[in-house]
Amino acid sequence: MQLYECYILHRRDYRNSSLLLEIFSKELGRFPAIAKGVKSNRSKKQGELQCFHPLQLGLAGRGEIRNITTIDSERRPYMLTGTALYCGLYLSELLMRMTARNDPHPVLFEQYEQTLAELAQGALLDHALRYFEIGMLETLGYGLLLNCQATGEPLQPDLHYHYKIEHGPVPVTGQRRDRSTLRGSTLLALSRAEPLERVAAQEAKRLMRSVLAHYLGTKPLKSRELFRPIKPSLSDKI
Amino acid sequence: MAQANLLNELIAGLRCLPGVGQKTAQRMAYYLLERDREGGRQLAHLLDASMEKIGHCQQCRTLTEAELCNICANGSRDASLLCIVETPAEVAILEQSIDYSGRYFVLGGRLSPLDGIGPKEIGLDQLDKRLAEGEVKEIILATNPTVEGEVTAQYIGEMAKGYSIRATRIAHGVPLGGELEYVDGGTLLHAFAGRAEFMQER
Repeated sequence: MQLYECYILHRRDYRNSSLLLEIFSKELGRFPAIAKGVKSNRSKKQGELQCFHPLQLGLAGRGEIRNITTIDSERRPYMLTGTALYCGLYLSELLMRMTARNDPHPVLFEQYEQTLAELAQGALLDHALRYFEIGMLETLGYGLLLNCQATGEPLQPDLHYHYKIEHGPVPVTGQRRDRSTLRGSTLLALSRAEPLERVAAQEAKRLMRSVLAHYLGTKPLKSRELFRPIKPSLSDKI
Repeated sequence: MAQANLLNELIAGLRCLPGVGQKTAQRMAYYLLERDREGGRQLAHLLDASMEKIGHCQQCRTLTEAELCNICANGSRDASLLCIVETPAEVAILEQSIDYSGRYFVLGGRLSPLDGIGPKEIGLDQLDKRLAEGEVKEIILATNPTVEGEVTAQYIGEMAKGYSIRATRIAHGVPLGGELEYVDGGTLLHAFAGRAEFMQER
């Protein structure tokens, strides 16, 4: 029986003792599947069917929703703690929103796994997320142009650029520098996957935010709320 | 196909209960109609009254028909201890099984961005106000050991830290009477990481 390498992106209760899972698999892409009876007391599998746990699943069924017949988990889950846990959920949401069902992307799967490993090891979170975002866009065919201008001319490290989505960096002259522009040096660092210093990391974050917003549409990513502390809303104060 | 009449509607209605399928719903309906009409009437009355009157406690968000639930209204309970749980059912099971004299806060869910549930949706703005009042000295995070439960605990833990309130997390590990050989790897990993001092000094 064939086993598929999978991660769980999302799980919800289904009927009394089953789970409805959204699976991201190396060979099959993203698809929904049901794990029958795993929530009963006799089943030991519930603890294994968690996000960030590398699983090998056996599947049956030809319809839209598959059935999980075998669950193997030889490898350990990536233990994400603290803010890295939020980042993990952010990755899940990105994959849910950016990939189509039943559209396999083995490279994206590896990028995801690699990023989970970095998050679990306590790597710089910003760094891990940015390079996942860039890699994901590249794999999905929306790759960014980071090593030269939109016209093909080389970038100057100390000049400021505006990133025109689906075109590339366009130089900005004089006064028009604002929060949406970034330095050539940041673009070049991103193109070489180098570590980013503080200002560059902020510029990169704003760049990726605006690019992702373009592909995600108007609905914002809910997991971003986790990174913000809760404030009593204005209506409560008045 | 069965005809649409009151009996069939009743059977279909009973199926909204968890764990009740067509067969069980049929048995329930026939039983009430043939054997226990009085019980059925009372049930109908109680269901109606409960759905109308039972709401959420203003302080801890558990289910109650009063403004404050019994636990919040009870002055002898320790207001400096606050146990955070996901559902009202968990309050009931904790009350039955452990000797806990503090208070509760019921989230009514857990943080789950993919389901569209963020901090606001589970009442964390209300919890924030409660923590700001300064009465709470320790919060006990009793959310479930799932990824979402863990995220929720983490988020609330950070809120508590902002107010210098002590935050503790319930232990998770090997179940009582269980055997290590049959416990799954993830649970063992947690049990090992969260091991506690055994020979405590007195």
